[in-house]
Amino acid sequence: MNTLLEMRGLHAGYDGSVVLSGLGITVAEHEVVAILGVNGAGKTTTMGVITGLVTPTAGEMTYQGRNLLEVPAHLRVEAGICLSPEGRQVFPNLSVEENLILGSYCQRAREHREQSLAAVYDLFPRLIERRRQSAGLLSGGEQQMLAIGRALMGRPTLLLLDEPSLGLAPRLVQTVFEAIARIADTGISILIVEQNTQAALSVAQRGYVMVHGEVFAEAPVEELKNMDSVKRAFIGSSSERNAAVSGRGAPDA
Amino acid sequence: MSASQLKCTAFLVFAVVLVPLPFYSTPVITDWCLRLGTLMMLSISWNLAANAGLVSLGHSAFWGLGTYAAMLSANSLGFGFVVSLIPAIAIGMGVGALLAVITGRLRGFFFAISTLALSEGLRVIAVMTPEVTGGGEGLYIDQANRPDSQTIASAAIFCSFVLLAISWVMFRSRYHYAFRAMRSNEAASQMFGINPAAFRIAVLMISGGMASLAGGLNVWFGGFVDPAIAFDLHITILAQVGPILGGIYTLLGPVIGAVAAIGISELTRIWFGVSGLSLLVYGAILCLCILYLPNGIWGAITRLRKKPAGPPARMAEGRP
Amino acid sequence: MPKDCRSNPGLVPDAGWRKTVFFTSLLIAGASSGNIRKMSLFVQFLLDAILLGGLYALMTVGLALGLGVTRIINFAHGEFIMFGAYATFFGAGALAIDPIIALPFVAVLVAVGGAGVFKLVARRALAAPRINQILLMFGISLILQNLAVLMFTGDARSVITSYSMGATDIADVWLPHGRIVAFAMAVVLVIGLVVWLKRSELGKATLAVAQNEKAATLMGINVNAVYLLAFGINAGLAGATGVAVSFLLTITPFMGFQMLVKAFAIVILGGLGSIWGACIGAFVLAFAETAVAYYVPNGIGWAEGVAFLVLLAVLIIRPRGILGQQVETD
Repeated sequence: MNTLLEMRGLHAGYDGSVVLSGLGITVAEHEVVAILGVNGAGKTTTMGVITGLVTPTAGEMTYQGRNLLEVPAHLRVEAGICLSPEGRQVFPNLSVEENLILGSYCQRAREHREQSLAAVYDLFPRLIERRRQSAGLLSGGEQQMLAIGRALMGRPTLLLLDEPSLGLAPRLVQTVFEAIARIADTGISILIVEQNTQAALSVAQRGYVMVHGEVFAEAPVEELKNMDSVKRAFIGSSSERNAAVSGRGAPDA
Repeated sequence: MSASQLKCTAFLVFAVVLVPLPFYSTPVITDWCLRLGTLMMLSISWNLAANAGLVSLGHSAFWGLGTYAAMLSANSLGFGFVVSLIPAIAIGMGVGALLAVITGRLRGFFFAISTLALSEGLRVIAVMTPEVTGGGEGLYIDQANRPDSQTIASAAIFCSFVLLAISWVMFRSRYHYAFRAMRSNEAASQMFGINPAAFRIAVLMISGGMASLAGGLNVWFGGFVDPAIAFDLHITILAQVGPILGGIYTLLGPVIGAVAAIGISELTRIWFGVSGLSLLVYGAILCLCILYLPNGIWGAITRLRKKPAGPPARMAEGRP
Repeated sequence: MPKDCRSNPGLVPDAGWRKTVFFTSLLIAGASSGNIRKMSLFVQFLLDAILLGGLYALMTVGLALGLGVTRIINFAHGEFIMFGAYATFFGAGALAIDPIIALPFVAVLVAVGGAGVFKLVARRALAAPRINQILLMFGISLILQNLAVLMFTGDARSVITSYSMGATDIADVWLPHGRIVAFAMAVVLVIGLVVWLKRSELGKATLAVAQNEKAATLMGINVNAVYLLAFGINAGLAGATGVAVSFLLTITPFMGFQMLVKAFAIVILGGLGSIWGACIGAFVLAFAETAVAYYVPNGIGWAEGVAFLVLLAVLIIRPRGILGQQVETD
């Protein structure tokens, strides 16, 4: 399989604090990769670096062989990278359908808008009922579906999902992850950041465990499920846990 | 002598020399003394509010109120020069407090617009109540009680030193941190044991009182007022140029800036002889300073002196 | 997550019931008096208020858009209006172009000028603390005002057209041609803006940036370009307002300031960043001012101060305005 995304030696931070130190992650074509870790490990910052919202201080990143760091943030969708952000970040005063349409704003996706819209509605039938409603009034689960659908509208080759299970009831988590599995079946590569290990490992083929801005472990999913060191890193020592809990909501989640 | 004692001495020396200056010089210098005195008062007043994060775009409101209060109390109630300044200060403080209460804890933008609207609203009221204010035609002050020009100019200088001392006290006190906190995050200022609402009211009362005092002093000198002059946008601009040119977050900045502003105004008048130009220059100064010299002249100098001690103070506070 | 106020029933009836009471009482007063002249006075009042409302809407929607998208408070808004008026004046004088024809050209001219100003200061203004931002834009307005004084002198000008003075009398009601033309311009432009925002790709992108910049970037929208566009539209609509008032008001370099105060009062009344709010607020202010002008002794003079009272009332009663989101405190 060809490599799609490759990150090497990435360092990034905010206001002098270091969040990522020497991060290296790869995602191949048609692959589903999970990034696991507690709060504060740097998972969302990693997403930020890939989408261009965060500028790394050092390191390399290529996408389909091209240097991705040269590409400004608003052109990364055109390159094929779409993100469903942490906390959904829908456009609250626009309708569900308007949100989705905005997902296909870039030139490449615009041409296939009708097609993409139909596919998203097929994947998330709940959204059809709500298509004219303001996105800000949707429930958490519906907003999550909207966020993922919106990202799909960009016809990505790499779909990024940041904490899709956040704040969702278990039944909804299942629904969402079933949809994610269906998306994976269409051949789109997925990089998913999750605190909910079980859900993540149910769709992924390979996983990274991040601790304090670095890769702590990398392995195929079957191995990860059994690794003691993984369980330790995640469940973590209580001081790590406390640090993680107090970091809730900070940019380096 | 410690630095603080040195500053006190310098302050007193300047005061002793400058306050009686009008009595020993020409009418031109007397005129300058009055303009400088009132401009310094305006600058200190505006600066005080700005330091608390309250950007006034209508300081002319306070000035105008002071003008009319002094004039009306002199004409209708026969108040003498000094006594007439009391209603001027009072009304400035009152309206300042009112403004603080009405804008409550809203963002600085609301305050800025409110001051704009206040100035305009007062101007309309002044025009529409000719029985009281003389309306559009204006009023002349009753000459009977008018002291000579030198006294007025001298009083202006004196008052500006007093106001400088007041602002010195306010910045040096435990409220020093309160100001900085108020600028960026009012909620955080509560950590310093201050009630933000009360602090806001206090700052605006004092700032308003200062500006209206300046207006009251000025009207005795000129002798005439009408709504357009009293609430002129020009006055707001004058109030801002001093602090921005000199340095908002310093004590002496407004004073130095006021001196520089008058200097520039005189220079442009002499060179170009066109009245619109000095305002244009002020606008340009405002923009250039904000863009390239956010700490003003004096601020830049004091920061240069402090630089070896550590990283520069973070002036960029708060998010738009 | 801020709620969408349009679907929240609490908000619109708030403004609605006050207006209903106001008009009903006027209607009852008019009808019960049984006096036909009073009735036609009332109709005249309605007409004048509506015509003024349209004009105020044009004056304000650009500002509301710019504010909603860039979050920069454009204190130079009044000056863009003023330059639009002067451009029309010189077009009418030197090139004998009627304002109606001049409208698109002047609007584009001022839009480009405004975009240029924005480009010059944008980077600093956007990153600066609020105090600096406010003062910077205020400084720009000063520069523009006094540039106009130097270029055009302080003399009052006006544009005279075939319709600026005319009026038709129908059943005791005067229909002033000039104000109707201005109203028509306003309606076309405001509706055009709303349609553009909702239907065009760029328009939707602009709305997106106003609601969530980060998400907009993730959609592939160039946020900085949208900022420039929004500010340009702000300036363009202001310029168009200048065209519309060029044959209604006297043109001086300082005319922008009073309009600025009113525009901001309307923006706050309507709710920061809400276009619909700006429209509603425009009509509320227009009705209030016209009512004062008609029914208060010496009202015409007092009408100018109504904006200030409206602003005060909004800040005391409901700072977020009619359609605004919850206002953040400092």
